[in-house]
Amino acid sequence: MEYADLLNAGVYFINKGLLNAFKIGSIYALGAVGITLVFGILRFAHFAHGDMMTFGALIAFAGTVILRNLGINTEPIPTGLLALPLAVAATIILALIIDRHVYAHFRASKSPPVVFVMTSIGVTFILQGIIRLVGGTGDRQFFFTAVSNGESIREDKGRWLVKFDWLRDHFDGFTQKLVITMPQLWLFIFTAVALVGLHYFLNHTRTGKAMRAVSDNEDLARISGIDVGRVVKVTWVIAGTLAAIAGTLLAMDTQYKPILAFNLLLPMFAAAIMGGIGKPFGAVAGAFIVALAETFAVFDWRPIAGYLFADRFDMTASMALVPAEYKLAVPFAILVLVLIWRPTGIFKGQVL
Amino acid sequence: MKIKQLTLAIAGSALLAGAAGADVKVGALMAFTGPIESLTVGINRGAEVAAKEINDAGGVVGGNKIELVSADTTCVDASAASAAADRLVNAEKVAAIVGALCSGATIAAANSAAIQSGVVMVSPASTSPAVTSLDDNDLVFRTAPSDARQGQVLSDVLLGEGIKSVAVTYINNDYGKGFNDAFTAAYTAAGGTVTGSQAHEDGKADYRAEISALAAGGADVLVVLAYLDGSGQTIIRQAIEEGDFSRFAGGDGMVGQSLVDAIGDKLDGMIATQPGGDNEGTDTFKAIAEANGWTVDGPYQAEAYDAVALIALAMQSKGNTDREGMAKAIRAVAGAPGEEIKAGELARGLKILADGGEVNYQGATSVEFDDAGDPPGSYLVMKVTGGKFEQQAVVK
Amino acid sequence: MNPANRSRVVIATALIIALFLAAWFMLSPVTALLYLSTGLATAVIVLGLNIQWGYAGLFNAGILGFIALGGYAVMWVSVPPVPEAIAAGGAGLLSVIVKLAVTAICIWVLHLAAKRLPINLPVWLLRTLQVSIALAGYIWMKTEFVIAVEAIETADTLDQTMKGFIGGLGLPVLLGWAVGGVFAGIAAWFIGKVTLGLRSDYLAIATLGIAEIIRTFLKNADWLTRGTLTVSPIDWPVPTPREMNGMLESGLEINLKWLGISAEQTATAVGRGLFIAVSAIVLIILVLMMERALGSPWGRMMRAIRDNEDAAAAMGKNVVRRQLEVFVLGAILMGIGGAMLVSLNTLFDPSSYHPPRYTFLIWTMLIVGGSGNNLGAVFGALFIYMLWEMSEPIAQFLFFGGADMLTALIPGFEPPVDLASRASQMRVIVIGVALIATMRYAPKGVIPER
Repeated sequence: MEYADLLNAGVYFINKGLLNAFKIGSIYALGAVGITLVFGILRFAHFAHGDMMTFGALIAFAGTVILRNLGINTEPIPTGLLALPLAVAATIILALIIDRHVYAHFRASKSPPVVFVMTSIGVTFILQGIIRLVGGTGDRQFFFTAVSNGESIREDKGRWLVKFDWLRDHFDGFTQKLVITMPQLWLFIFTAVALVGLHYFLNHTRTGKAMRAVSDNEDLARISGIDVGRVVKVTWVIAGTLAAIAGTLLAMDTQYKPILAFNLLLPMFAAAIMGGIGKPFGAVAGAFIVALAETFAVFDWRPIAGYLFADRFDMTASMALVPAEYKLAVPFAILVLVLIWRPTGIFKGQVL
Repeated sequence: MKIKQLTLAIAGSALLAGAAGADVKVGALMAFTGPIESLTVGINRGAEVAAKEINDAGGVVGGNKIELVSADTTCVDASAASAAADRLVNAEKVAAIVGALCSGATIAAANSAAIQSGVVMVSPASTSPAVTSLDDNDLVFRTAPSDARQGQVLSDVLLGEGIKSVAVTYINNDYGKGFNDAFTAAYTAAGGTVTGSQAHEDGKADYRAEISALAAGGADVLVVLAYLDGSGQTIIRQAIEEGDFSRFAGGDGMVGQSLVDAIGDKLDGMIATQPGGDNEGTDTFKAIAEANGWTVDGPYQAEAYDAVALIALAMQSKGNTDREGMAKAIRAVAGAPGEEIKAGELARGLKILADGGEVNYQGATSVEFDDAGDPPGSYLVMKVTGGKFEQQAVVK
Repeated sequence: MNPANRSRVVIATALIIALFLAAWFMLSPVTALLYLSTGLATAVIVLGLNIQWGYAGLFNAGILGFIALGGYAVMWVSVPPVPEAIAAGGAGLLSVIVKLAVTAICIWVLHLAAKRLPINLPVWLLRTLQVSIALAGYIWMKTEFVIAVEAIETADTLDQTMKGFIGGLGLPVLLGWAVGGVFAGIAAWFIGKVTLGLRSDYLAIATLGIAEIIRTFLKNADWLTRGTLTVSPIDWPVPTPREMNGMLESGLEINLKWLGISAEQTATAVGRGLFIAVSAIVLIILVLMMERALGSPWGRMMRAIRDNEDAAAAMGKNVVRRQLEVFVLGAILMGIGGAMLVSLNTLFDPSSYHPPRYTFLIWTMLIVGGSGNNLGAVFGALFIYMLWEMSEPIAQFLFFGGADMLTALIPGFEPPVDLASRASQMRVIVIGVALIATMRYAPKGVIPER
């Protein structure tokens, strides 16, 4: 076996397997952290979270269009990122409005969790309708050719190609490369910054500690003088922020569409539950487990087998574990197994 | 709808005062919500443009304006499709129906309401073979091409280009599935190799895992049987970003300028088939749309235009706006003999018919029907060169 | 029934009748009948959910899985077999089934042996053995299965509407309704076995996930369900409007003029009327059965478990077993309802089944109607379904009317071109508002539990 083949196999595995999983895993993570925080502190499964992400993406898209038409182009920073603060602000406001006018009433009347879940489904219906009513049903590109002052400027998604030139010179036959596009790079950066920031916030600030206290035991927290109302507001601010970031970055990586994040809701729930409710970093771990499982269940091992054991197998049939049509079912199968094995998630979350 | 007439009376009776003759209602079974919601807006506009052209030409049968009444089938939900069709047929009393779009919705609408009441349906988008074999008393037509024929054409074109091995990804609905079955059968029978064939769900953000699994088969041409402003575009973009495939092919669902604009010059060399006899009809249709402030882009819009035009010409030809005799009249105006009428010439067609002549409607997509009410039609071979889909050849 | 509830039942009935009459006169009599028949089939599903949630407090969010199984069952029972496909792949498929059974029996025997025999097998060893057997079985039958499926899906058939799958049994459709319940019940037994230890939200998300797995399977197992190519027509248990047409033409005389139904709509009206009669009989029988169950010691025990699981367990009630019973019972009703819907629409299309329509909307019906009360469930189903259907024409009326008014009032005003598309989005908003308003102002629903 040639070393180059081994390298090829390794880089292929990283590029097509791990990196692909991390791209979608980062989105799941940003969403699942928000879900698990709401789950932990407000104690209900927030079905409208996906549509909050879509809402953020829609606002970011509107902002991008306005900025581009003003002639602003800041490559390599995508214009979409400049519009992100607007999207975050709008999503936070939306979350706070929904909480104040819908969920607060049920909190005050100490309703059971199922009431909140049902209400959040009602909110989902309304948000989906409003998003399409306002934004239309079409798909939209964040990277487009804008015309301002009679001059048309095309913003390109660009791409980062890691070519391994040094390796290529030393190993004949080394052909693989790593591919990351600009939005993906920003996605990784944002995910890392957001999660590190959240960790610092929860562990080292007064409000963060208060949030953890409420999540552990609300009554105890209340009598020890913590302002639960404020904690709830902060939770929505964080959840809204993460949702807007996730939605915008996802839409930039692919495209904006009204159904954008509703389809991600179930894997994100799977991630949050797998990680243990109320455990933000459990949710992150859960998100990457779901993403890895999805990716590797349908991962076709033929090229790797080809590099490693050239011609020793019949390789006309796919060597994937599961046909790609069943990719969606994989995270749920794993979720059910995890729930049976450890009903409170891998990281021992709350018992509701 | 009675309530609508009521409001019109309250809100804008002055506007209606100028209209001559009574209106004739034509139903439009669209899919404004559900999986093809993004395609539907354009399809509906195709229908509206035709209605506008007819009304500007003075309407049908002595000045009847065509009023399109739309209803939502949600594409996938058979209950909703039945209820929507029933409302159009029994409550709105439409003369004929344009639609439905998804094949399942068309079947449900036809079985639950339209056939029973003798209402003609002309679907601009249902491509499934299941529609062909519907027991429909010759009431269900479609201007959309059948998957079976187009799969054969695409296969021939690819083999003609010397492409002997491909991977196929298709949208998991009646269109993608039927197209894939036809294409794969024809391609392998003629000596090509399909290294991998996968269905994908529309509306997902990420197809990288599926694409790299397909690329693992070793082919460097990817046949994408999906819609250009849905999963089709995402898949091509991600395949290019990842360097998995360098060349692409597709069906009518993938032809549109927005695809080239979104992907850029990496798309050069992409081959696609599209129904149509020549570019003239399609180009005129695009020009008409532009004049109405809208850029044609995406599948089934020209087909929707043709569907409305056919219904209008059929009413003109039989001299009344009743349901009865509609199917026969549609066959009469769609086929020879008669003056050929292309898109944009509806006024001329209406006039010829009013004067007792005959027309052979060609429209934007070279309309023709076989015994089952399907277009056996001819296809255009399109190729992306220099940032545009260019016509390569016509396949009869 | 207490007096407060009685007045609510009267109001609710009046509401349904008002909506029905609105559809009858504003739209058309036959359209109103279609709404009613779909509403009745949906009511059976909501009744099933009421048993699970209202009686026993089980948060099932996988309703669509059971509806889809019911739909598949009625298709399977009523459509004829496809001889060409069975000739091509039937033998292979049978062999796969035998192998599957052998594998399952091996695993079961191992399970029994570990339980009954006096040898002390460590659990990890037992599990490893079982997983190995399962894996070996998978490899044993995989190739054969793939070949058989390929043969079935590509078999050339005389009848093009049946190409690509093995077909069904060709038995009466009413049997299919019952089998729909059986299929859903069997699935529910397995799902319940696995998930019923979980509490509220966890159970919801687990069932949601399992429903997605069922949906994905039905949509992609083309050899069994014909997948996205859809199967039609599915029969009715009564003459369909088209058959009715034939009967009327061949001399049967029915005059419905006195109901305001025109001659050409008579066949449709009679057909739908008969379907409504059958659905209503099924629904009434089921409601009476459930009412009896609710009043029986079993029903009282269920409510005791719902209200305080721990106390019931402490009193020696086998909580999980009772919950499993109720879960299966509810699922059977959902399966029957799903079968009725497919039969009514004459089409089985596995891509129909989407969570917003077939899980969340069903939940909305129960919550609005009143959980814990069978009459409330039926009311919720009829009311929300009619609202769902009628909100589209009403929204169009408001949108187009509004646009016309603005065009008339404001010179140069151009309404958006995709107005019809936007008006269609109002449907979900109306349902969302109805749901939240109910939760807020009538948290127990319109007809609350007694």
